[in-house]
Amino acid sequence: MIHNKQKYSLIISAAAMCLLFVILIPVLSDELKSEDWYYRQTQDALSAENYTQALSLLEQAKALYPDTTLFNIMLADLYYRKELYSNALTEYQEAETKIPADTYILNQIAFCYGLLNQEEEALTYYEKVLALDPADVETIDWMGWVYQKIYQLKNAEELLLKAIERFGLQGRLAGTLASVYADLYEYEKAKYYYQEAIKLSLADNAPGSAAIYYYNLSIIEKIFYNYAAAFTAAQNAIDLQERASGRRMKGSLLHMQMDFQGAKREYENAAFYDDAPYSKINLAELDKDFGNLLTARERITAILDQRDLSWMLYYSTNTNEYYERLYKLAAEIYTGLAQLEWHTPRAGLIEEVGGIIQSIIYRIQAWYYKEKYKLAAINTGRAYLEADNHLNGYLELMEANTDYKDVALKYCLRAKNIETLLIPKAIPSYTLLQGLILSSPDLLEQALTLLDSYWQKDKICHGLQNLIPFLEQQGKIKKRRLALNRLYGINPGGLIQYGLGLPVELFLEIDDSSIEKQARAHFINMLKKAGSELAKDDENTGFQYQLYIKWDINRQFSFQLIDKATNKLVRSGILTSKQDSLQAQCADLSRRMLFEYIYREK
Amino acid sequence: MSTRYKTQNSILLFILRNAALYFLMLNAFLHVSDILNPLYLSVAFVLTALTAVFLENLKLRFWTASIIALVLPFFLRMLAFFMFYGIQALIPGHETDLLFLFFDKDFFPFLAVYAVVWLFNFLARRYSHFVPIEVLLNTVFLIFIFWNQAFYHISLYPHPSYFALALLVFVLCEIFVLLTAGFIKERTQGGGKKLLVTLGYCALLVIPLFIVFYLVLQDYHEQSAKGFSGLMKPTLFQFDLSPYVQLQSEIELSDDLVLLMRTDGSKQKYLLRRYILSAYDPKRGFFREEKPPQEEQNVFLPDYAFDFPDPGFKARTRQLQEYYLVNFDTSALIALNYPVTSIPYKNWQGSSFTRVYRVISKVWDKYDIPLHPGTLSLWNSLIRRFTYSSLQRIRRAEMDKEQLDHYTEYGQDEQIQDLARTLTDNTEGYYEKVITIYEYLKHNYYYSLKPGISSGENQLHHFLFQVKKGYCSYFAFAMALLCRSIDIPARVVVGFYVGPYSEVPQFYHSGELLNFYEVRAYQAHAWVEVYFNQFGWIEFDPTSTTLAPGEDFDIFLGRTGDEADLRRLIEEILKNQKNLSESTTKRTEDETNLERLGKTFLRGIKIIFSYWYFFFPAVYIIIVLLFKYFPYILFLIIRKKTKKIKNLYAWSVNLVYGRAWVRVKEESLLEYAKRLQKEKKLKFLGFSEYYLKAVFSSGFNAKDFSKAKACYKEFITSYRNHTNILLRVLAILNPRFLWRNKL
Repeated sequence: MIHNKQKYSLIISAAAMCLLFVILIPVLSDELKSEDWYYRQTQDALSAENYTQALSLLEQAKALYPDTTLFNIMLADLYYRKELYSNALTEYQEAETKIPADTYILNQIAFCYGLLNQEEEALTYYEKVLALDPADVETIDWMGWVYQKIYQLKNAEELLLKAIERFGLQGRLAGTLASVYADLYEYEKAKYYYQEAIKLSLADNAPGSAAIYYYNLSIIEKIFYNYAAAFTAAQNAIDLQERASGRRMKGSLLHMQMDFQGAKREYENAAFYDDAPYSKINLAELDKDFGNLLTARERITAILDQRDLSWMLYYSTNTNEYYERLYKLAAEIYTGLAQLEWHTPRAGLIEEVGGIIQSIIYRIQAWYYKEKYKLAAINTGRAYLEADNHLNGYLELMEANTDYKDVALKYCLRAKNIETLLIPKAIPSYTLLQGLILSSPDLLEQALTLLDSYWQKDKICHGLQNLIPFLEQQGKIKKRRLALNRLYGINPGGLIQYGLGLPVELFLEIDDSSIEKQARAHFINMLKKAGSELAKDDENTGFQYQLYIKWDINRQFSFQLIDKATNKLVRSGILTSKQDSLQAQCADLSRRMLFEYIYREK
Repeated sequence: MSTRYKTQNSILLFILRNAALYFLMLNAFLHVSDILNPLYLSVAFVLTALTAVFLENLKLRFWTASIIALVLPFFLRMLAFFMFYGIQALIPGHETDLLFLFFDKDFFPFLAVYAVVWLFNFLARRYSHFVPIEVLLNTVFLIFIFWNQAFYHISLYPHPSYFALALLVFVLCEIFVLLTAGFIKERTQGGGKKLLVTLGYCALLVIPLFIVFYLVLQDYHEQSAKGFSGLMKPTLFQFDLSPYVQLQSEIELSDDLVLLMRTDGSKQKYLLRRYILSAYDPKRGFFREEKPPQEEQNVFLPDYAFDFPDPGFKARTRQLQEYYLVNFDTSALIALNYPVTSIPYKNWQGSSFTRVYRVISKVWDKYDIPLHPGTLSLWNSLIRRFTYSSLQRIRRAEMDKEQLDHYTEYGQDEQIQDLARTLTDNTEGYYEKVITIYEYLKHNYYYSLKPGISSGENQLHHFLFQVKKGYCSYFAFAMALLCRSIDIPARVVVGFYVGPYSEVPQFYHSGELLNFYEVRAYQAHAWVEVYFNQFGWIEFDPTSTTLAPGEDFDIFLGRTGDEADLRRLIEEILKNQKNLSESTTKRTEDETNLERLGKTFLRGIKIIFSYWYFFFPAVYIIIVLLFKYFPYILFLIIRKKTKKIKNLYAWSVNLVYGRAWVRVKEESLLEYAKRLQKEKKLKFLGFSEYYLKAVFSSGFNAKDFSKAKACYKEFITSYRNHTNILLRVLAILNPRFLWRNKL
């Protein structure tokens, strides 16, 4: 039993302890909010995805502990992980003011600049890192990569060779050096270093890296016109690791063969993995080349709307080159659409006027993108020339000046003199270019005989598209027909977008005699409007294709396009029209027959 | 009309006309501003206008002048190219190679403008009748140039207010062109007719504009309701939700960014409340009651930190949200159900956001309704079960009669009531009935943007009993009315649906961007709140997630926005968040309307003093013009001839006094007029005589009136001949003798 006195003393002791605790709490609570406390609280908030709380804690901690870089770096790393590179850069730079010689901070600043496509600033920071740690091979590699992106190839080569000499040949150094040599058009060196990079990567059990180097190897093979080798390298890349780049390369080689289905399959597979928009660009180019212009337009519009370019750090390109490609594609798409509108069969004056207005609108849009493309090409050309990369510089300036034959030809010849010395296989391509610049049918015909009929079908197609109008001007009608037939055989979608139509022998059967005369006249006019030359009874030389049209009494419209040379059915279809007037029905049926069947890839 | 006056007038007309044309040209080129050189275009514009004047002065025939004008630019181009060839030869290099390209880049696009500017200037100088036609054509060009800015998608200007200001300047310019043309003067005989003709030509300009804007606005009003989920209210430059909802037969969705929201916690669905539409009328649908019987959410964001009344409902946790408005009504309060505190912030300089504020809400516990004991921790599971059993015990809503009547008004729709009764026939509990109705709609109906038009007049019946497909408003209406018909208080709420997919993701790697959620126009949504005793208004979203057969868009509308823009906005927020300070515009709760009015008035005064350099001169000019022109206005509108002459004379004296040619003491009017005639060569005497006759003689007739007007014309001509335009303007603005009794 506890006496009262003891009871009271116990109570008093407990009260004193409580009082002491209450007094100590404010003191203790200050102790609780140490750096460590903030660190732990922040980590807990981040784990629970309470980012607002985490950011608030970090800002408070920064203010309370201004001398430490811990919270700057935590905040910067958070922003960096969340791809907020501009905010990350600010925090890293604040940390740099506190500790100027921390290689981690300097490296991160360099990365941020690189991801923001500010390559010059990135280089400055890489230099600072190397000044502190000359043995940082990763930084050397990144620096070489950035040098390459801004065309300072000699600097890149020197840096990487010194590093190899000092540290020995390593996979990533070899890979970057190979890319530099590729840009310098030094084929043998590039090939050697890519193969070394592949070997070293496989030895390090890094199939992903090896796949990248195989892909890069395929690029240089393609540049040097070794298409079969490029195809093999691309396939090797895919076999090692399923990546967008390998699929894209394979797709582009199939595209060159004008294999629409094959190329589309590869590009779509690539798009599944692709972080960059290149697969979408490839698909847009494919659709444009094969006449799916509306789809191409949707694709290019979506790509132009995407303005985030941080993916570019990992690709040897820059904003100027990227947009140059997009603008060129957009200009070609709108030019094709203008031709399409102009040659679309229509019924009635209002539709015709509407078509003309739409065609003009497309031409204005094509002009706009062409101007933007030219300006981008000029900027790219200037950058190349400043970096002493004359070949690419001349090619860019040639592209910019295609409307000024003398200037374009001058740059074309300069580029030809350089490239054909390095790559004799480039001669046919330059013959084609000269033919296009000079609008010379002779040069174009010559190019068509020189180009590889298997691997360079795209160029053959392009040559034919430009040659055919000249043949018409020269009155070489039969040659023109043969060229059109050849073009149709390679790419059915490549005619109408250049204002060209397939010459056909027309066999028209209209069962309803009450409308026969009018309908016949409408169909013939509409086919002619779409650019087709129709064989006359006494003259059918060069007409390889026969078009059989039957419009029965129930207004069911059926057609067959037959290749006389092989006696094979090329296209066929059955259509009906719900339009009111006869002319509108004829226009509707002609449009659909031509644009959904005849001038479409199967 | 004197030669000098004509020359001054024609210079003024030339400047005004070309200012309007230049405005049109500049705006056309704003569309392609990234490739064209504005200096080149401006210089070429001026040269073109001067060329037209020069050729017109040569008095050439129109076709001859046209041919010269056609050839001239190409000739200049040829000269320029010769020069470039020379430069190329002297300084070979790629920069000189590019001279041709850079010249042509602006030359060819400018040709179209050249044609218009040359033609309009030539014709306007040659034929005075062309001026109003030019004004009409300019209006047509204006519409054509700004056509793609329709539906208030203002992209050519940084802010719609600049666009509006530019248009106003253009319209005023064109009105002055018509007035200055002298065309009106030549066509009129009397003051009244002059006014009518002036108004007529102004109408020539204004009416087509008005018709076009009316049609555009009309179309905009109709389309914006349909084009923005059927829930948006058309406003001039920003979005807001509508305080009333009508069921449309078809709607479209737009992906315009409305605001960014930030709130911590794991991803889940959020329903951001804007308006509570508790009132119902069968014809109007659900709409917001101005004074509902129960306290409902404030719709306007207070200008200062404010605590809203807290009804203290159970099972609520506090949740902090931040709102960054991009394109939404800045006075609007949006918050999770139900807000207890709002804290507006002062926006930072150059902010991309129109308003920033925080809200603390007490939200219903973070599990979906209906409650299902899931895989949560034991503790959470216990809380759930406890809440669930509390809800189950509710038998009826405990509200006062007025409130109950309001929240159970269903328009006496028997069909709806029958359906509700049928559905809940075998269900006893209040909560179970609500769940039954909710699940019935959720699982037996389809989502569609095109529910179609009802053959009768009742769109809701069309949805409920015929097509069984619709968009969110249909589901919300249906559930609310079904509940109401069986005495369960319910109300429709409009706001935004923010799902897990709305959280802004990282672009390159997987993961989300710091709890920011984008809210776009297509996320406008309608749902239902049902009243539960002690727990308050609980949200139910009965909209089906099953698409109607044949429709193929993604109703979970993942993100369609541009990641780069979102990232930029988020970076901006993070950079500036530590600089945010609370807006402290305080006012007491007891402030009366009068006091508020007083404060508003003072705020207005403050604004006026801030822009004193604009307001003071404007006010001065308005007052002076009113005083001086008042007699002239009376002259135009009064019918009685004697009074007309009196006012015309008073106006004339105003002009003369403005030149400080005042009457001396004891001088009579005739003496004054004679003195003016002698000293200032003003032909004022004749007019003064007729004035005196009009005042004092009873025999002032129509003939006298005509003669008086002729004398006035003489006077005005002499006045203008002896007073240049600058002095005339200064005379009008001269405040001396403004209040003196001059007659």
